[in-house]
Amino acid sequence: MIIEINNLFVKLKNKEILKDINLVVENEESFVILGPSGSGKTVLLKTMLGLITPTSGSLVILGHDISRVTPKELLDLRRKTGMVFQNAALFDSMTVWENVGFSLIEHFKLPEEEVRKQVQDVLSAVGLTDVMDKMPEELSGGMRKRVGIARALIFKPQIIFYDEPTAGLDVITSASIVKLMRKIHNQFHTTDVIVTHDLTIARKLADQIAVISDGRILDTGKWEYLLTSENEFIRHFLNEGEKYENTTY
Amino acid sequence: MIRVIESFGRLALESILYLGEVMLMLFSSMSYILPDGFRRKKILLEQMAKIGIDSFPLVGIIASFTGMVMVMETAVTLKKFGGESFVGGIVSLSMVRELGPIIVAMIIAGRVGASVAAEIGSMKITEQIDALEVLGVNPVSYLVMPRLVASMIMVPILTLMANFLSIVGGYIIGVYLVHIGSGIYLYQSFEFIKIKDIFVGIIKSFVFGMLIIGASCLEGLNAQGGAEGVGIATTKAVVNSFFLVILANLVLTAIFYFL
Repeated sequence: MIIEINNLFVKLKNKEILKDINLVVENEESFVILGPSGSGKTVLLKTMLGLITPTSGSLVILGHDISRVTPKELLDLRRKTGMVFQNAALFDSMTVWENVGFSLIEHFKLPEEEVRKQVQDVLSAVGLTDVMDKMPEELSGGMRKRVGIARALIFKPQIIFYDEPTAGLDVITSASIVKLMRKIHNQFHTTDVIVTHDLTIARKLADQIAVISDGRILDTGKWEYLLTSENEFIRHFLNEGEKYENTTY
Repeated sequence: MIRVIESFGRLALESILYLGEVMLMLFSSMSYILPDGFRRKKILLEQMAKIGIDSFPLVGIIASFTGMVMVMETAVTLKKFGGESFVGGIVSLSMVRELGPIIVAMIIAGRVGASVAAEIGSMKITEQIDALEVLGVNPVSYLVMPRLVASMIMVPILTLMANFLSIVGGYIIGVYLVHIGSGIYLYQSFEFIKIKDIFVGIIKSFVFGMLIIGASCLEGLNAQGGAEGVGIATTKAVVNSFFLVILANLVLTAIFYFL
């Protein structure tokens, strides 16, 4: 397994956000963490990334317990993982190539030509051309998201974490991002951990889905299994969501 | 009465805790100067330009005007005792030891502190700080350390320039409006100011610069929520910087008084 979480609790400002989380993500799996807004999805993702320290429990990623790693091990681990933020989180004072090649410049001090070449390769992989010298403010929402994905891909990571990858995008752009995620998953053989409330992503991309509500994982399984789950909240969330998605106005 | 004492106690404790947080931020940032300082020279130079060169016109105008006003106010009082020849010395000394560093600190807190808190705060709420961490870059090393070093270099330089310009401003008013002899004014100015006074002013401005950047970066990194959170962080950065500068001035003046 690539990620194993056991009895994880996270408390922020004296409020328990995550309660007894248990998860296993297998190699090259697309694992979707699905839940409504405010359910603790993003906190779970940030805990997996080592940005939030767990109150108790264990979180093992690629064989390293995230709360016990040394700074050097954490840096090595971060080179094996990529993160795509909800609003791309591009550095607005840098051009696209500087954003995507940031890690290469920071950690390897490669010459500009070499960085630009590697950046061009990952930008092509996400379907972007002629944006190298543009500033993030000059890009559309979909393009920013693609640049965010390219930045996550620069080290050819084993795991990619996605935080609400289709949030704020129109239906067509969302569909193209979902298609791109699938292409990257197949091309780079990544393990994907996707946090979302978007049922389309869960249905189209997920090998496994964990449904989270109020900081607890309610159930884990495939889409078809969860549709008939014994848990009333899950059935309601998936079925009502599907009805809403199929509604034509 | 007990409630009043309680609230004063709480305020004092909160202030000490805040000072501790700023100190932690500064020490943490300083620990990156040797390992990361050289490779961040581009950001350092940008910050030096922002803090020093961009602030120079405002500092110059305010310092020279303050020197002029000080000469006029002091001359009115000293004239009553026939002591207007001492105006140059008194004004120059008070500018070098006290007003120069304070004026520069207030300008830097308002101009640079607010901008630093807003910039880092907006990076925080748009997850750019998280992105830095995920990309294996320590935000304190990348964002705080270059700003701290830039302020440690530029605030004392600005203070020296402010001192010079305030003396020049005072000289113009002293000689051409109050009609003190040019030679007397300059002689008194240089007679009153000792090397130690210039040194005291530079030490003060060095400490003020560090505190302003420490408080502003801390507020930026602690920003929460949306645009409103950035606004709150910016306001707190300026207000807390003013408070820390005044507090540090009191402590440093007391220390140098006994030295």
